[in-house]
Amino acid sequence: MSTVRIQRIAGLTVLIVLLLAFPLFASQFLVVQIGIQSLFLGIVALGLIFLAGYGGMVSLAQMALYGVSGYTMAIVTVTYGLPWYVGVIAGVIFATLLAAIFALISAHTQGIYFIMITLAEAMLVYFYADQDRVFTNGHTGINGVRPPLIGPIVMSDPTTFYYVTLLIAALVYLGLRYIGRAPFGLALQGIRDNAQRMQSLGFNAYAHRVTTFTLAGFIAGIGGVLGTWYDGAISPGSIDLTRTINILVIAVLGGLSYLEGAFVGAVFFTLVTNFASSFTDRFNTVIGLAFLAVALFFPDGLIGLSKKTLQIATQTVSWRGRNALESSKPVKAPSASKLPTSDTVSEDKKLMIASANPEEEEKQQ
Amino acid sequence: MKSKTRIVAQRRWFRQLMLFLGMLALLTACGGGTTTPTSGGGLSSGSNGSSSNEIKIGALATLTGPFAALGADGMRGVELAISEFGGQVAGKKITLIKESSDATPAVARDAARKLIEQDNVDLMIGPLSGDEGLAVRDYAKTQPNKVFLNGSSAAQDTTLRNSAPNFYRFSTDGVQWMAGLGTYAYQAQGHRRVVTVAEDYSFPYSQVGGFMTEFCRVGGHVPKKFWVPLGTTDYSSVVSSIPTDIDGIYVALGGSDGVNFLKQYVQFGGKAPIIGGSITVDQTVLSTKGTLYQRVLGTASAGPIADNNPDAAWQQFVSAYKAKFPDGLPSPSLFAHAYYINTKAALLALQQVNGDLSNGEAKLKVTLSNLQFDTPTGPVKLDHNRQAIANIYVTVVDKKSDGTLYNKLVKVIPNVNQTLGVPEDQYLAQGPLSRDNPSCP
Repeated sequence: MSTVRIQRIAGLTVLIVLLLAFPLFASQFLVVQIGIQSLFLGIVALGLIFLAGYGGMVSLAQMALYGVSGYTMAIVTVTYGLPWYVGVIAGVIFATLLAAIFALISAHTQGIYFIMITLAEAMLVYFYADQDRVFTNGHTGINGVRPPLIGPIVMSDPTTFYYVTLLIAALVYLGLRYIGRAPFGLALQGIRDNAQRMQSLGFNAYAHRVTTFTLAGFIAGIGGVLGTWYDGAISPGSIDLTRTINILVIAVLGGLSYLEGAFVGAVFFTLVTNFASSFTDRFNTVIGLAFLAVALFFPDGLIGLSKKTLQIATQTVSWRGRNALESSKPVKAPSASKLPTSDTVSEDKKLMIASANPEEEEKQQ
Repeated sequence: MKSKTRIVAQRRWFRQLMLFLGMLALLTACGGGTTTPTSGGGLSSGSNGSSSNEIKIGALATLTGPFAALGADGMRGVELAISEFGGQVAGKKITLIKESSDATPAVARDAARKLIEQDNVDLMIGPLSGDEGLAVRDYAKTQPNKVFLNGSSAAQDTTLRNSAPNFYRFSTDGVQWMAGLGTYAYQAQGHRRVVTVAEDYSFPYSQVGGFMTEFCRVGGHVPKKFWVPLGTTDYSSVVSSIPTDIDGIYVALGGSDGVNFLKQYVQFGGKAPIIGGSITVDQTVLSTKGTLYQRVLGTASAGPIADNNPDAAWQQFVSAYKAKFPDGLPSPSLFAHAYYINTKAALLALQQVNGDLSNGEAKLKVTLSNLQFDTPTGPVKLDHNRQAIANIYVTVVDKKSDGTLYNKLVKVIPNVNQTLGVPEDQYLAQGPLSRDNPSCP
């Protein structure tokens, strides 16, 4: 157990140092276009992964909520000339409120119907933005949004922007990780797997789903503020169907079962979109093929793939390999007659969130 | 037992979080940047030029999405200009780096950033569409040491308002393209009252604005303007509310939108003749058969090129295009034309400064500002906003002896400037072109 823990801490430290030192060794282009872009796309995808992985709700409305926040901030700061913090607060609050309204509409449905309703919500926002002239300035959108001066922090400096975005991404990640393990998150996972059973245990499934969707909207709102600063503008093109699907692609590529997958997926996605075009005009095909491969062969996404590879690697060098392999298998679902405790609920999952976490391995050793 | 592990796990994560935040605080404290804020929107970063025995040119066009075919033709224009120089200028080899966008401003700016900052091009040419042009122009402001030339983007405000000192447009804009059409419709075709139907974004605003500026000036009236979203397929609500006491309909719809509107208008029994925007009467419209055929005949439009311009320079350009791109379009589009002219301007200027890109490309900038040269469509020079002054062509749809339709050149409007002859301060005072400006009901 202790060796695993040391390994984990060491791995984490290396990752943190790499992330922090990234602007020191990478070119500004990489910091801006790969680093920052991956981070704010990752934040939005993080909300989606939480929704999909923990709540079982695959939402297509995340980019629309991103847009609501970005537009609100742009309108408040550019059109009305108010200070940046008013814009940020208004943007995030408005996105959260709209997410709550969307949730009230869509949280009653599940599966494909949920996807379709959130898609309708996304298109509603998109077409409003595209056709309204008074607030959103139609197809052209709102230009001239500038990253602000936050006290001594010059946000228009790429390195500073990177660190601020990194900090926010880390906070969102850790916050979601915490919520996922808190009673709320466990109940949510229970609802995802068997809403009726949780209802009979006294949990309000609808309220849990609405709250989760609103939370994801809040996160998309944060992403929207960062993304709009990054772009320096927002237009319907930033939230159209392509962008909506991109976030889903990022989440699935990274792995819907892991929160970390959001960032892995985002980095992969930005790298491919930026650099595949140097080799081929058909970089969308490259992304499409990667998506297909992941969806077909690695349902846990790139992060699941890398964990599996790591596992196989350690398995071959360690004589305890056989043991480790057995422990990592998905926990068998309890029979329906068995009363679920909070622990069996968290283990009884199609998406294997908890069983994929190393804690489960440690537990059984 | 199990819940205990979870608590332990949480504690460990809390410790790791603290560690993370501590390190983050440490690094942000000592790694704080000293760069000054930029004047344009978004983020910027510095970069350095390429080696001295080559010139790197970046070209940006929409190679994916709905305008992919147009973007491909734009790229042909770039390649044609470079091959005219034998692939080198001032003794240096030209390296062309292509980058694609999907006609959205954010993607265009990211692609421009990649060309400038990652590929380290010496200058870039692009983008293709209006809103992209505004985004790239704003980005250009954050890269004052690089030269940006327009592709075919034709939003007027790219150069007229908030222009960037290092963004040059040797192609004409959507307002200029309409020069002569309003007068022709009023005087030659006798139209007095015309309604407009156009897509609801910046490029058609320019087109409608350009048409109306002239049409209203000579005494015409536009009682009603219809704005439809891009990609509209059902025009029944528009068609049924078009007044009957009109002499013509000005249609600025691109691609299939134009054909869809025309079909539905004719089916509805609409009788008014059509006046077209610069991209309305394209090959799709010209190849129509049946009832539309007669209606399309006689449609006037205007633009930066005329397919059947008999001028020798144009004919030479067309045959060079056809020879280099056997699988290209039957005749170079206005996108190929615009990219070609901007690329040629860049190469001529590079030749004049002998490839000297020192001191933030200062010499190149001065040379470009004063550059005058002959294009396949006559002479071009820049105004003080670095916007082209060039010829515009008024055409009318006519039929050849075999019955096929084509755009016949009827009038050349020489040296059209950005404000269509209106003094600039007066023009600017009218405010930006929009749904409601100009107006002459």
